[in-house]
Formats: sequence, C-alpha cells, structure tokens
Amino acid sequence: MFRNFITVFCITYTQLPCMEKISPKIIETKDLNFGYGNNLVLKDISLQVPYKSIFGFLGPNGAGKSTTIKTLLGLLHTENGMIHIFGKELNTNKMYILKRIGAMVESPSLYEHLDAIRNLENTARLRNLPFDAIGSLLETVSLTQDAHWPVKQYSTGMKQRLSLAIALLAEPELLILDEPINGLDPNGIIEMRQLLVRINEEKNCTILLSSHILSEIEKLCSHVAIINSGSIVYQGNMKNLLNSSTGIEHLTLQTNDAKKAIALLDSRFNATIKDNALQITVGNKQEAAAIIKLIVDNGLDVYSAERESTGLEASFLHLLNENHL
Amino acid sequence: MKAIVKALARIISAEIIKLRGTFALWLSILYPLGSVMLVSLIWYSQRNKKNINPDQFITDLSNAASFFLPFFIVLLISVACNTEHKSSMMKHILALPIPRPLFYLGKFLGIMLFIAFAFILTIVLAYCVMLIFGIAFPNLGFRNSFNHLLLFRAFFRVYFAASAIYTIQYWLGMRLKNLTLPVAIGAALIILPIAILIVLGIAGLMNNSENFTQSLTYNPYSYPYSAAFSMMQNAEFTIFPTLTLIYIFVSFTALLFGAFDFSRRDVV
Repeated sequence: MFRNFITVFCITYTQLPCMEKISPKIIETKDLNFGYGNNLVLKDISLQVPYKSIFGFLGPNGAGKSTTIKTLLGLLHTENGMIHIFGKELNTNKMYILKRIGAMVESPSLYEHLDAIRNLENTARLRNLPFDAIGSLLETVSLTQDAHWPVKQYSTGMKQRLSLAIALLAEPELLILDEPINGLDPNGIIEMRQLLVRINEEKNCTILLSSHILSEIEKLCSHVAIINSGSIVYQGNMKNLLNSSTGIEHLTLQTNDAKKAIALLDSRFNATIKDNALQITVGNKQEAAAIIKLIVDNGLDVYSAERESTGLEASFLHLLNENHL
Repeated sequence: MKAIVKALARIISAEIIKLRGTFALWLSILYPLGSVMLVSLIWYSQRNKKNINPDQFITDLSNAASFFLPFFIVLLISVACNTEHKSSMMKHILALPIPRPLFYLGKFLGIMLFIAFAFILTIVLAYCVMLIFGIAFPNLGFRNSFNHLLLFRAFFRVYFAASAIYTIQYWLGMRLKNLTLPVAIGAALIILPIAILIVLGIAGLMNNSENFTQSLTYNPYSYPYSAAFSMMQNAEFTIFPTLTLIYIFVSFTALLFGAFDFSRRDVV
C-alpha cells in the first residue's frame, strides 16, 4: 500500500506541470518583448533556467538569442515583461545581480593592445577584485605561457578562452556565454566543452550558453531552450527533448545480399540501398531487432548493424518546422 | 559617498592603464612638444634681435597652444572613446556591476588626466626652452625678467576656454562607434567657422578684426583661439572671462546630459 502510494506519488509528481515551479530557477523571464522600432525581435519570451544546469539556448541566426542575452544583462531595456535573476527583479536589483554574473557577449570583448594579464587586471580593477586569482585563471584556460603577449596576436580560440577567464574572474554563480564556441577549431571546441563541464561541476556554476552548433549543445547541456523568430518553441530537459522527439532512428545493415534483404522487408519499412548497405528508418530498437531477426531467419548473413539516433538535430528541425506551420 | 569615490578612482585608474598603450598617450606628448617646438624655432630664428620682451614668448606659446588645443582635444577624446568601441568592450563593461553614469564620469576624468598631463608637459617644456635660451642667447632676456605668473594664467585661460569642447566631444565619442565620425564632426566645428569668416573677410563683408574674433567666441570649438588672441590686449586679463564661465556651465550641462543619455542607451 505504502509502496503503491510512493509509486503513484512519484509518477504524479514528476509528471505534474507545476513541478517546474517547485524547482528553483536562477533565471526566470515572463512575456519578455523587445523590438527595434516596429520590428519585434523578442515575442513573449518566458525562459526558466534551473540552478546548476548547463542551459543551452538554441536557435538559427537572427532568432533572438543574443538579444535575449543582452536583455538578461540589462544591455537592452525592455518595457514589457519581467526578468528575475537569483529571484530578484533585474531593473531594481541590477548591481546585486551583475555582481554574481560573469558574461561573454557575442565576439570576445578584449583590449587588443593589452596583454592577457592587463585585460584581466582591468576587469578586476573595475569589479573591485584582488589580482590573486589571475594566475590560476590563466592556468585554467591554458594561457599562462602566452599571458604576456598582446591580445592582437592571439588566435580566435585563445581570445575566446581569455574572454571566458575574464567572465570567471568574479567566481560567478551564473555564467552567460553568447556563442562561446564560435570560430573555434575542433580541438578548441573539445577544450571549451571540458572546461565548461568542469566549471559547472566543480564551482556549482549555472551556465547559460547560446549556440547554433547543435552537436555541442547536445553533448554539453542538461537543459535546452529553442528560440525561433523571437519565440521560444521548446524548453526543458535535454533528455526529454531527445526522447520525446520524433523517435525516428536510422539502422544501417551490412549483409551478404542487400537486394534480397530489401525485398524481404517489402513495403513494411522505409529502406534504401546505399554503398551496398541497407539503410532503414525504424521507430525504436525493438523494430531494429525484428528486422535483423527477419533477415537472419531468411538465411542471409548480417555483418554489421549500426543504429543511429537522429538526436537533437532532428528534434530541432522538427520543432522549427512545426513552429513555421 | 566613500564607496562612490573609490569606484570612481578604480575606473579612472583602469582608464589610465588602458590608454597608456594607445595613441592617446602619444598625442598627449606630441601636442605640447609640437606647440613648444614651433614657438622655439621662431624664437631661435630671432635669437640675434635685441630688446625683445620675453613675455612675448608666452603670448606666442599660448597662441600656438590655443590653435592646436581643439584639434588635440578632438583627437584625444575620440581615440580614447574608440578604444571601447573597436574592441566591443562597451557590452562587457556595461555588463559589469558598475553604475553607468559613474563609468561615464570616471572615463571622462581619466581622459581629463591626459589633458592635464599635456598642460603640465607644455609648461615644463616651456621652462626648459626658456632655460636653454636664457643660457644660450642672453640677449633674449629670459635670465633677467620673466613673468612666471603670466605663463600659468595664460595657459589656465586657454585650457578653461576649451571646457565645452571636452564634454561635447566626449559625448560624441561615446555616442558614435566609428572613429572617423566624431573626429570629422569635431574638426568641422573647429575649421568651418574660421573658414567662413576668412571667406567673409576676403569677400569684404567683414573688415574689422575685432568682429572676426568676436564671431569666433560663439562657437565653443573656436573659442580657445579668441580667448588666447584677445587676452594680451589687456595686461590684467582674467582666467575666467564671462564667456568662459558660460562655457564651463555648458560643459557641466553637456556632461550631465551625456551621462543621462549613456545610462538609458541600449547597447546593440
């Protein structure tokens, strides 16, 4: 009886819409609108970023990601809507909120004629922080060796890392990063990803980052919001998005006779032959197992089977298309 | 209040460190050096003349300095403001926990320290030249009677006459992201009124030189010339003529307006 109650409670609780309200939010916006003249760029943005999450803010170019971030930092003034950060209203508690935030807005903001140390010192001075942490921060972003070179000699990746170090200077509780992996090479992207995960785990820092590189957001983020044409089309847990999305997966089979295999599948499955391999669209893993069994039972050999989830990319496109319709 | 002063001091020191590595520092050296060298060369060419009043050196120097001062201010302030614009630093700075009017004021005061440095350097260089000339060319009279007070009064008058330029140009520099535009506007405001008056003079529509000087006083960007040119006509000249006081008031108003404008502006 008690066990049943717990089970029912757990199911009910986790499925309750109000569950989102119970869980604490570090950023909460409601019906946020912003426009340039008559052109409305943000339309009723209601964003909820949970504490200690890595929150991905996804959207195509011009969707309103940077504009949303700028409104969260008070760089753009909004007349409509509400912004609460750390549970406090932004406009009336701006200094309190900004003290606890580290931000990197769009391209790296650095004085190119100064070296990394001077750039860090400059922000430390403005934020009234001691210079003690500068050495360890440079080490964190792997710039100790190049710390004395003028920033104009840095690569894009180094500039991004220095910008991140500047954002981390005040040991922020919330890190807001606008396109932090833009312009980075694959190695730089991996380093940045590892660094952000470490900051999130070790310093309990909530990270809100915008990007249009879906694969990175999928690997990095625990939560995600998708914005399109100034409106949020999805927000929530990344796993939920991936699970609740199209459910479509691709199965690639290498067999000894692809033509015979495709004939076996008949019209029940959407299958094609590509590079002598059988490519089949399946709904779930049980379907994939049934297909393999069918082929093997009919005397054909299966050399390899690869099941590939369409993942965030498919969900993203699906949501954008749905939104357009 | 103490916290505001401390925050202001931090912004000023950050501004100085940042501007030290830019063209702004070179401008603050080149302007005094150029003005003093120009006048020194003229005086060097007159080294063999006799019965020269050494006070005339101050007049010449303040005339030269007042001619170059508006250009120096326009360039220095525009370069200093552009340091933020060209590196997209405005977004970063305004996302820091610093009240916007305080940053606006702090940056302005930081730039003003560079102008003060140029002022001091001009006086130091003037003394160096006078010392050298005094030893090398005794007939110029620098060793006997030199009016030290006049030198300071003349320079204070010229620098205070430029009060309105400081804040108007600063507002333009902070408002306009492109370096060319504030420099062009500033240069046009300096040159155009003089050019128009010269054309009027050539056309015979303005024959009186007093009218010429008087007309220049109504443009804050040309006022330092007329303040310098007219001061030697009266030996008991004041550092703060009425018009300078009016321009100081204009300067404060422009600073307040600029701070207000900066506070409410969106950073796109």
